[in-house]
Amino acid sequence: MGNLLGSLYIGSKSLAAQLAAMRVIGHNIANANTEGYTRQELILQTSIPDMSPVGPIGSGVEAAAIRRMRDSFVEARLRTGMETLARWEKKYEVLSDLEVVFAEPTDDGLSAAMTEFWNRWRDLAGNPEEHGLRASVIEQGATLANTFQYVYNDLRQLRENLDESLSLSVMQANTYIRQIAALNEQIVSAELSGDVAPDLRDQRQLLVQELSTIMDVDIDDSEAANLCVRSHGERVVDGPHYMQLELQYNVDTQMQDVRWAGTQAPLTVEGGSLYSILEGRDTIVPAYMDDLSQLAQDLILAVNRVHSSGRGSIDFSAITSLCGVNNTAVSLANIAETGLAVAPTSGSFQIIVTDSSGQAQTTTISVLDGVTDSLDALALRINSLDHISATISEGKLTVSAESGYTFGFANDTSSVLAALGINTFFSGSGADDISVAPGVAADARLVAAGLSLDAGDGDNASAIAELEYSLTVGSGRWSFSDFYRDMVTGLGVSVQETGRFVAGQENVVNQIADRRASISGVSVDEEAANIIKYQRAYEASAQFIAAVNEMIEYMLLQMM
Amino acid sequence: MRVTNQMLMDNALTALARSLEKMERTQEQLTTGRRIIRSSDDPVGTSKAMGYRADLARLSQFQSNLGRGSSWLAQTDAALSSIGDLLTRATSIALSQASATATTETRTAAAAEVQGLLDEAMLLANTRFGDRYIFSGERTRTAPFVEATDGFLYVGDADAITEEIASGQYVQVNMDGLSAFCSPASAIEGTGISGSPMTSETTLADLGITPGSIRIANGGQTTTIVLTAATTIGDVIDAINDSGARVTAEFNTGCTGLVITNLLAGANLAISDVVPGTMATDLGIADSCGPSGALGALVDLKAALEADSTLSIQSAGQNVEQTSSELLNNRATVGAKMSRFEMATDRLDSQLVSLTEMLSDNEDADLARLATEYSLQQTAYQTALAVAGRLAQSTLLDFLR
Repeated sequence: MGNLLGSLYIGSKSLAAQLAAMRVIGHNIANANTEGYTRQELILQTSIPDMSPVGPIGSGVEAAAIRRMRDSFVEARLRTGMETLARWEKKYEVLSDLEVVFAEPTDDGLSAAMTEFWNRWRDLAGNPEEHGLRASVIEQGATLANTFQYVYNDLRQLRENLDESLSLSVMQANTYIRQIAALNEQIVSAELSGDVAPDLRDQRQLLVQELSTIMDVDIDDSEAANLCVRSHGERVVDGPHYMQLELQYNVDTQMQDVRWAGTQAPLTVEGGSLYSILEGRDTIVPAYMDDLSQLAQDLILAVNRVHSSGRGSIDFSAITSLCGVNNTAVSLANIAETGLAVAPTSGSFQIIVTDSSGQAQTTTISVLDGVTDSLDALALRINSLDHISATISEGKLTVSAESGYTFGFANDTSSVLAALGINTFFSGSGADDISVAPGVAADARLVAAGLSLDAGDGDNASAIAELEYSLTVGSGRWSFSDFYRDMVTGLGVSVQETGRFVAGQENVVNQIADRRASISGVSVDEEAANIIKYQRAYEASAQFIAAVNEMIEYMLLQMM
Repeated sequence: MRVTNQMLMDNALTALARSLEKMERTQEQLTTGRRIIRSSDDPVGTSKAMGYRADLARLSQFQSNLGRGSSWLAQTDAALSSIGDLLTRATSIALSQASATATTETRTAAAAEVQGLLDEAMLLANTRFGDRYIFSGERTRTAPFVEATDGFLYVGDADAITEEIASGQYVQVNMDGLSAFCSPASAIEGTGISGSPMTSETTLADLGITPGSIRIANGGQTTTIVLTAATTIGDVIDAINDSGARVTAEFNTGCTGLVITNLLAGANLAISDVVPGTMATDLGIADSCGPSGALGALVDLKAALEADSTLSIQSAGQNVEQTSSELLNNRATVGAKMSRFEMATDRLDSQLVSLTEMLSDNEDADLARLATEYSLQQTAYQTALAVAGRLAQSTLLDFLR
């Protein structure tokens, strides 16, 4: 009787085991489309056999464990692969945005504006009498200045946007970190009994992967119940404990710094989208901003140098320098003290004072010659001339002529006029503040097309147009347009290259993901086959129970 | 390898996305008609495109410069040709009035006709191109010659007006009034005062010149210039230029001496020392010269006719003839420039055409190729769609009924 009941017991255990297996299959099918889900398998094993005279005899089946079908090596590779992909993708995004800002080749970008600017000067050189051509030089100068400014502002905006997306990424990373720590706690308590909590682990695995796309992290042991996440020596998650990132506004850079809230250590990051956000914000975009500013600065200086030695169709009765000098007593070459954007060199310039009858008196003034070094000294020197006087107010030099007299400038070999902003075409010192000098903008007659007051003198306009060919940028290595072209071409190459990296990395990630799916993914066909397998086993076990039951029934009947 | 339904689905979706991306790219090129839309599409091509565009804009400017310059030269040529006609008429007047048949009356009438020619010449000298006087040097807002009681005073300057006709290539298009109407120049040249080239800073002491005073007689006006305070040769030049003696002083070619050019057409110029000074002699400019050029010759002829002197009329006639040949030289120079401009225009036109072609080759999309590509991509996309559609349909479950 004992054996009969034992057999009945085998049957019922088998029913329970097949049912459990069916349940696992059901769970698999239900989660076939769940992201990060790892296929589970119920492991069946034979029960401990009973002893019998013929030796140990089988006592049926029991569910031993639920196994997650996974390969931690493939998962680690997938994680690093996605980390790299996220990094390249973000970089590609940054560079593509830059490309849109420069928007070349086009008929209305910076390149075209520059070419047109030189052409307007060329046009004026051939017909300086035409007032309309002077106005058109000013108009094109303003267009060029505006183009510089708006490209520069777009770049600045791009940087600010990156700073904003930094905040979002940090917030996202913080959320993942908190969730991983919380899951650690749940997994530990769920697995106290010694079992594994597969679904919680799947969730945690997914979160670590998501975190990896933001920043590079290391994991001590992916099998551990208590997952320990590190980032360059910082313990980010350790069991239920975790550390958050925080943002701090940096007054110097006017951008946010990222650091760990616990240790106050600055964040070190070498992968993930955060890396590219920081790289874009702190390296790539600023480099283009610097290049653009360099271009604008060199253009301003080159045009102003030539312009300040020329004369318009009228002279000045008074003029005030555009650039203020902080310390009027020190040498003008000392830009640290004067605060000027460029330092004049030793040389001289001429002031031509003309009376109402056209009689002109030319005086050559040496600067930085050991005597006339500071702005004060320069004012003193100009004051020593007849019919004109110089004053300094708030660091700005004002030269004015007696009534009935006018004055102009010529042959400045020292660049002092360009440095101070006297008789210049542009004002400003970079791409952010370049504009047509207010004096010229207000009165087109002051556009210095000539070297004399003669109506047909376009020699200075010619000299300015000639700057198009001159190698001015980068200490005489590039012409303006070549420099800009190199910038745009370099950017294009970077975008192209990064695009290829992204495509390549996408393939790598896809392959690893396929590999992972091949191990951990749910195949509906397979599950369907398993259903039949376990269904049949269940049916057979039920049949077995029925048979044993019949045997018991028969025996009981006999005994009665 | 174990393949799951999700994998098949993912792969199909990736393939679809890539296919769409390609189509989008092709479509963008098709609709814009351009091969390069962003610089990353072809960085080298972008660089070329930017260069071509700049070249094209520059060449267009040169084209307009050439047009402007050609008109200016044509205007100059026309004025010079008319002056030539006047001189031809003056030559025949001189010939007929130098003959034995001429009487005082005929000469008086001829003098009146020469005055008419002079008036005509003045109008021609003051020819304008638009609102610019073409013979005034850079002083294009000022009529080059004003009539004074003793001649025609040139108030323009000797500066060049140039047009850039190719990168960095400047060509002078104007001819100043003195070269055009007073050529050969009425000038006094003091050569050999210095063995080596001088600058305006060269001191008189170095040249062995004792500062003194000089006298310039020009037309009906005599000017005394006190140079006792002068220390450099530059001071002398400035003092003479500012003296109001209606002359210009400058270095000769080679800077070994001074050239004093008379600005008063049709007048006699004489420079002498104010004794006991010897400065003018030292400078080699103590000399005199008569009127010259077209205007000078006409003034000369008129004076000769009024003086009723056969000999003077003969010499004036020769002077007119000589001036005519000088004028022809000037016209030849202008003509040469005109043909140079014409050639440059032709060259520029063909350059513009080939540059536009290069720009198009570099940037424009090959529509036929793109259209073919697009239809191929469309087929591929449709196939991918059909396959993806089938994928979702069948599993083992379908057959377990």
